[in-house]
Amino acid sequence: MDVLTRNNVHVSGRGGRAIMFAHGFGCDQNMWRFVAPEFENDFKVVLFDHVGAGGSDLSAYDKSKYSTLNGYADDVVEIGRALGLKDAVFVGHSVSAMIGVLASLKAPDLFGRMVLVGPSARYIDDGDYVGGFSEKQISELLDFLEDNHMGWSTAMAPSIMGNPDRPELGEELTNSFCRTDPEIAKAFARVTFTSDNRGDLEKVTVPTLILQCSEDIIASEEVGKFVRSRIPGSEIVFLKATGHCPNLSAPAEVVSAIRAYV
Amino acid sequence: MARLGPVIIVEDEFLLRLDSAETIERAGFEVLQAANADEAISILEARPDIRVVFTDIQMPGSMDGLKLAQFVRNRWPPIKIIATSGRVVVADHDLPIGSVFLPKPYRGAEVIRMLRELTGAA
Amino acid sequence: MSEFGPIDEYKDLFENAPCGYLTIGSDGRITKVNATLTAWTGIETGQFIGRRLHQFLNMAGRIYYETHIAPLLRMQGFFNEFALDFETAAGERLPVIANAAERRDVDGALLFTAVVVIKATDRRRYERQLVDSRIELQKGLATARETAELREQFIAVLGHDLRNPLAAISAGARILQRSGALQEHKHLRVLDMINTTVTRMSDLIDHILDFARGRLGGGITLSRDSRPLEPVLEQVVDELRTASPQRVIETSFELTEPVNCDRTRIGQLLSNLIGNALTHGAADQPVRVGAKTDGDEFKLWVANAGEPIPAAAMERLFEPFFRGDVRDSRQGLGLGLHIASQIAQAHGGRLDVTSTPDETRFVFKMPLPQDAS
Repeated sequence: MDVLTRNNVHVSGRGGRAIMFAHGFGCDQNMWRFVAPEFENDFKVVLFDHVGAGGSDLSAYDKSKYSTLNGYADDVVEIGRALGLKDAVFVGHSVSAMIGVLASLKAPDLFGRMVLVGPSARYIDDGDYVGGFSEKQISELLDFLEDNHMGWSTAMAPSIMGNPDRPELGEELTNSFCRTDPEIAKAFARVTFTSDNRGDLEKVTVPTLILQCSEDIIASEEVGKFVRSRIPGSEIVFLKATGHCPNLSAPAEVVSAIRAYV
Repeated sequence: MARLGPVIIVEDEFLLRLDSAETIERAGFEVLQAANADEAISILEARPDIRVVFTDIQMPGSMDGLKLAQFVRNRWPPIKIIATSGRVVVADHDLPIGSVFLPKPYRGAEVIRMLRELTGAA
Repeated sequence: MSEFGPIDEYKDLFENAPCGYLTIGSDGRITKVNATLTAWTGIETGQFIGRRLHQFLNMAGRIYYETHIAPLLRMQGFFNEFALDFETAAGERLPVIANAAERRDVDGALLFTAVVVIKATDRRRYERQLVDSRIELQKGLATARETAELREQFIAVLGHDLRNPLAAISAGARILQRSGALQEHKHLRVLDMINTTVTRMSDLIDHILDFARGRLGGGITLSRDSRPLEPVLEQVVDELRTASPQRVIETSFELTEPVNCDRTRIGQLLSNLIGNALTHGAADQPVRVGAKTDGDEFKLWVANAGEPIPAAAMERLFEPFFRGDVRDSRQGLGLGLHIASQIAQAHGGRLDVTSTPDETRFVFKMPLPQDAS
């Protein structure tokens, strides 16, 4: 299984420099659909799905490999090497911000610039460090994920498709974006929300920009500022966008913030 | 009459060791005996002419048969090794290259045959 | 006649719908909420308006909203049948199933998002139970698998540990035999008996381990092939002739086709049957052994003369540990016939017995596959 198929990699655009977009927890490469196309005129745009999400090869999911973010970082490096990327731009959303940090530590020549959207080095509070969540809340989240089957039940979709009462659905399957296997999603959630990469930040040698949203309950301003304070030479931009997914809720702002930096 | 070998047999079960030693002696080999790895090493140090180590794998003491095999190979590379066991099945890569594994229960004739091959005797 | 005008009717439908309803403006803040939802949550309208939806969810719901619901709404314009947990004014959990849809104007700009929620306490509880039972089931399967592996290992180790001392005893007897120190016939006989007894003990160990494997686990496993069976049967008979030189065992083997079976196990079955015949049959009459392939069937039988098996014993013959009248401590544990019948079953065949004053006969029959290979 070659890596480009395994991770459902899509390369488009024309340009010398490559820009790789990495989606975060809960979704797949579709979440960049309002941002990535804006770079196609002058960049080589690379989109992919983490193993277990979107159109990636679910059979390649290995519990022990992906029990830490390092497994995902290895994949990013593998994709970069397969495409011959050097000095590329990495844009990582949510947990992919840390995945990108780890990838750049493994392969320092891969990325020349990094943009971290809504990053958090650790989600669970720890002493003075405010991550935003208690352990109890995270375990409630994992239970809660069991109760939601969005897009996972292939039995559901055919009965909805072609339903004369719902013409707006047309050919598209319900919730066809952001599909993932429920067991893998739960495991990814556990890995994400129990991760701790605070110690990795100071080793980063790549120029890094943090895009911080307001009222982001997943990665609050405090958390974003912490990341900025630890990555040497990094910068932070406070977006007007609210919530955790500015790439969807305020794509124009995200695009111009990235452009200003690369 | 010149005797073949010498061979050292390392086995902690007294009756088994004695029986095997007698069988091998009757086939014309000089046989030394040790009840564990430590004894075997003392004897090997005193008798540099020993050609084959025939060792059980499960043994009490500081080393089991596998570790002893490795030790012997490192210290005295020319010595050949036969390892035997009733319990474990040993894969090729667990023993030093060129060693032989003989599962228990084994017949006297099999051991003799192996010893003859390893020492190049007729 | 309705008192309400048309607009009031729609308002009533909205306010008192059998579901909760709220609308969220393009800035993400709630603009409308209906009476049903305020009643369910115990939270007044004024508390809802201007706030964000996730403020009324528990933490898990908030995270889920931010990572799944909001992005999906943005990308496909709707999101159906997702579960949420509201937090009521009393601090309790209100589980719901929700649908959400965006409404945009002709230029595609977002006007508002409509969210409909239905109370789903029972359904959510039911789904939760299904998930929980599935988890329990999987854990149970995993445990059963682990237990089976442990048992196999235990049986293997036990077998080895039990056989080791036996091997030492045999070795000891060999040493004495070879030494030539024992000259008297009586003493040489002792050495013989040591060997015979060790063999008997070894068979007992085999029987017990088979029994343990069969009873505690999934039955006797076979490793089948179609290699010649007759030599194995001959060898079994030879060994028994050697062990009981004063007894006559007659054989009649007519195997004209290959028999796909576990040869070791069939040998064991035959050995157990002949052993049984030697123990219980008339000592001065031959034990007759036969085997035949007959079109669609393989047959193996052992017959002996002597006292017939009592009717009461016939019913229990193949039970484990059944020994009938204990005449002789050399009978063993009473597992031989039980294991033989287990082997028969494992091969898809059967072991039957008939017993009259003329003869007692055990017959093993096994179907042979009919397609020509």
